[in-house]
Amino acid sequence: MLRNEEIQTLITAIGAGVAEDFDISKARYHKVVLMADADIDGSHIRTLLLTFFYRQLPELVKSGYVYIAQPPLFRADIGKERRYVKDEAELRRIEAENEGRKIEVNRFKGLGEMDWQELGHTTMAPESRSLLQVSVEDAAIADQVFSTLMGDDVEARRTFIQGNAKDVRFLDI
Amino acid sequence: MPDEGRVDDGVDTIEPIEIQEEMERSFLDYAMSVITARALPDARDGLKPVHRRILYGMYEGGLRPDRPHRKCASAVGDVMGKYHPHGDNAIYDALARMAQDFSLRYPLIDGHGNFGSPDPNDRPAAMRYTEARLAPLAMQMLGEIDEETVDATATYDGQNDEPIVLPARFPNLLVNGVNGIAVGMSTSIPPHNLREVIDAAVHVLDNPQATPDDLMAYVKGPDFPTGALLLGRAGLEEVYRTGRGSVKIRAVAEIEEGVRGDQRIVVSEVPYQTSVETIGQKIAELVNDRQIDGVRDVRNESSGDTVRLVIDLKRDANAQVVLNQLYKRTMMQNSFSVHMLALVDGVPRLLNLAAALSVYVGHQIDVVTRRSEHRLAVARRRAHIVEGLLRALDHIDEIIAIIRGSQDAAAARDSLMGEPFSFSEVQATHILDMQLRRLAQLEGQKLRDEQAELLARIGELEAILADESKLRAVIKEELVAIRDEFGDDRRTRVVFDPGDIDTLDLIEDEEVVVVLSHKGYVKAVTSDAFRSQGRGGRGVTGAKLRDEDYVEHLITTTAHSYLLFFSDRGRVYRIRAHEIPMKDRTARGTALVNLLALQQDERIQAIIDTRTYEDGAYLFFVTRGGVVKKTRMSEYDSSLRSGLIAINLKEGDELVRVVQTTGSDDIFMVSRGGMTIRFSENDVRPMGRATAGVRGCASRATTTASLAATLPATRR
Repeated sequence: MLRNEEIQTLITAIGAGVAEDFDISKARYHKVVLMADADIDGSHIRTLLLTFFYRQLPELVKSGYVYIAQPPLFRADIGKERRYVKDEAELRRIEAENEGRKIEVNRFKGLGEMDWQELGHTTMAPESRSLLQVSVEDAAIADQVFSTLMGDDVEARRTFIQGNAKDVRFLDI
Repeated sequence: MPDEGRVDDGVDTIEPIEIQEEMERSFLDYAMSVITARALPDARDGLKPVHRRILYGMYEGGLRPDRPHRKCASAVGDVMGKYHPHGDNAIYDALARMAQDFSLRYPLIDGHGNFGSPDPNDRPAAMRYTEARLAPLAMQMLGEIDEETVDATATYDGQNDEPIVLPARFPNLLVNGVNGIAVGMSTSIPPHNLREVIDAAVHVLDNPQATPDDLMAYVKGPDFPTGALLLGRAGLEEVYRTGRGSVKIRAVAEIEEGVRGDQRIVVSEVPYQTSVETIGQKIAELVNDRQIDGVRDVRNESSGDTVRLVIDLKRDANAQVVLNQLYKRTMMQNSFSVHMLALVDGVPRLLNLAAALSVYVGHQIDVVTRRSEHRLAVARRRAHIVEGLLRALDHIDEIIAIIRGSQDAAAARDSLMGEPFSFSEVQATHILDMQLRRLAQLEGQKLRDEQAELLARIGELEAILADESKLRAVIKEELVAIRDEFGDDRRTRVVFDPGDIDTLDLIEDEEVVVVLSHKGYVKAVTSDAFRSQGRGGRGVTGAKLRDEDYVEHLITTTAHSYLLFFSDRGRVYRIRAHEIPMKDRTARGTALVNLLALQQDERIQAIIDTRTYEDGAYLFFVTRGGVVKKTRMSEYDSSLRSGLIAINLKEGDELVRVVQTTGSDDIFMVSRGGMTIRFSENDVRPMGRATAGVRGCASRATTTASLAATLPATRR
């Protein structure tokens, strides 16, 4: 896994080494922001990256240097007003607030669907973006979650999926 | 570090999230989406979303069987833009697979151009080269989709509608099978024969409570597009009863003898999802690493639709041993894991044969009910209009007067809808749109004919909707029509697994005659083939042999009996009589090397049959050098397919006879020179299997034993 070119680049860019050689004081960035498409494949990539950080650069996560960008899922045009919407719950709220008005909704399939001004404004610009800061409250629980979700035990994974199937946020096509 | 709530870190809006919460949430979104909307098929139509969208997209795009082929790129672009916002490669791969006659048992897409071959290095040409349209069978998947037979939903961008399931007028889930890896679960359903599956579905229509075992009377096992052999029924029973298990597939291979006595193995069908190229390479690898002996050369002589892999053997190689090694160490024998997981009401469920078909039949009842309701509504609407037109024709003069007296069309319509006629709005509109030629006598008759037809049709549809047995009969009739139009013979033959203990249960224990020729051709013939004749009859041909060959051994036995073949080298091989291929009375037979792991030039000297290795029975061996040995028969009761030592021979000696004795018989031995000796076998003490025996007669260099017989103690 560590031979992967993208991972190599990532480690080099952060500049604090990896695994046992990791030295948090050498980290060149204190905000490492994960930015993935707002669809389920984005979710998948996010789980893979978080696993990498947690397993290989745990100090980075524990120090709160890892953030998650929140690109909008919808663009809603209400008359002349343009709104970027984070999730379906917010969209429904907006629809309820503007009842009777025509709302044109566009669902983003990926970051590539936005032009640079749009992406900058909604996701990247510090003035207007909203980030999630990843924290580790209880290392034991976190460890267990990683083992279940990303480990070799398919049975445990299936049990987790079956037990939590109802909590799913959205299903993608 | 922030603990809770929003924190204003300079300018950013930052919310904290615990890593395990983010992991669980993201993972669950991903896992559930892949499970319910990507990797698993719907049990009703057997399609994953990408396949369904390709078929529907091509249907909507007019790429139907009666239209010309169009570039795959245009179909892929269409599907990607309208229905499936994912990578074009994934879509093209799925499309190409549905066109490959080696991937799908019944391809749903009619491809034109290079769609690749089973060889993983031989991929389809790029989608700008290849062309496609729907195959006629795909129209049965989509059939009647325009008659409100299935629900539709908005596409990802809300611009179009797409069906959530296809009508699937044949049981595609089992017929074409499917493979998919989701998260924490996966599915693997092998393809089946269309005729067999439809017959089973018809059985379920008649008997909703049918069990997997009932249905196995119709579904004999998977039927792969690439043919080959399916070994054993035991695995199949588990697969169809529980929905999971595995089946063994084996290549079709024959040992052939060349003119110069050299041997080669010719492979003519290979297991599903492997290729001649892969197997050829693997054999070459094994030979190079000296892991397999006896192979001189491997040649791929496949061309067009014909598979032919020739494996030339070294002169001293034992063909059967090499073949068994190839089965064991290459993809020439392969295990196909079955895990029949599919979505039922959006939830993944493991389906056994009966459950899979009953979900399908339920879907068909739904589809045909909805179609009938739709057709009924259409017929009723039309009947209503026709009724209005006919009534108008009957009173045409009054109608014309009303219309002429009206200010405008709206007024005319209102008048028609009022007293005395009380036409409905639809009827009134149609009357106003009526052309003058309708007034001709014959036109009126046409309308009356149409009305009669519509009323009959309405009655028929109402009957179907009111009576489920009528509905089931319609489904049955339509399934049978598809079976008759698209069904074909099975390609994969289900054969007995040599290691399958349940085999005997499935074979009739009939009487057979086993014939072995001097040159080693063996066959089994039912004893009925030789009818009784009077003494002095001419007899019938027992075998048509090549020049200089003659029948050397003939033994009557039963199909379940063991046959022990003793060779001149003192080895013994055991098979069941039913394993010998049944042939016609006049056939030559198969070379014995196809059944036994004989060495070069090894000859069979005796065949002994036994059912039970009964107690107290002995085998009595006589060698050319006059050595005899007596051993309990039970010593030979083990699986001896690859051969085992029956008697240790001295250098230059050979086994000439083996007879079965009771332990106290008298033995007669005759030498080539005509000298005979009789002695009681009590004089020979029983010995173990792999021993050399004792002197049977005073052998002189010139006299060698050539015959032996027994006189049972009871007849002395």
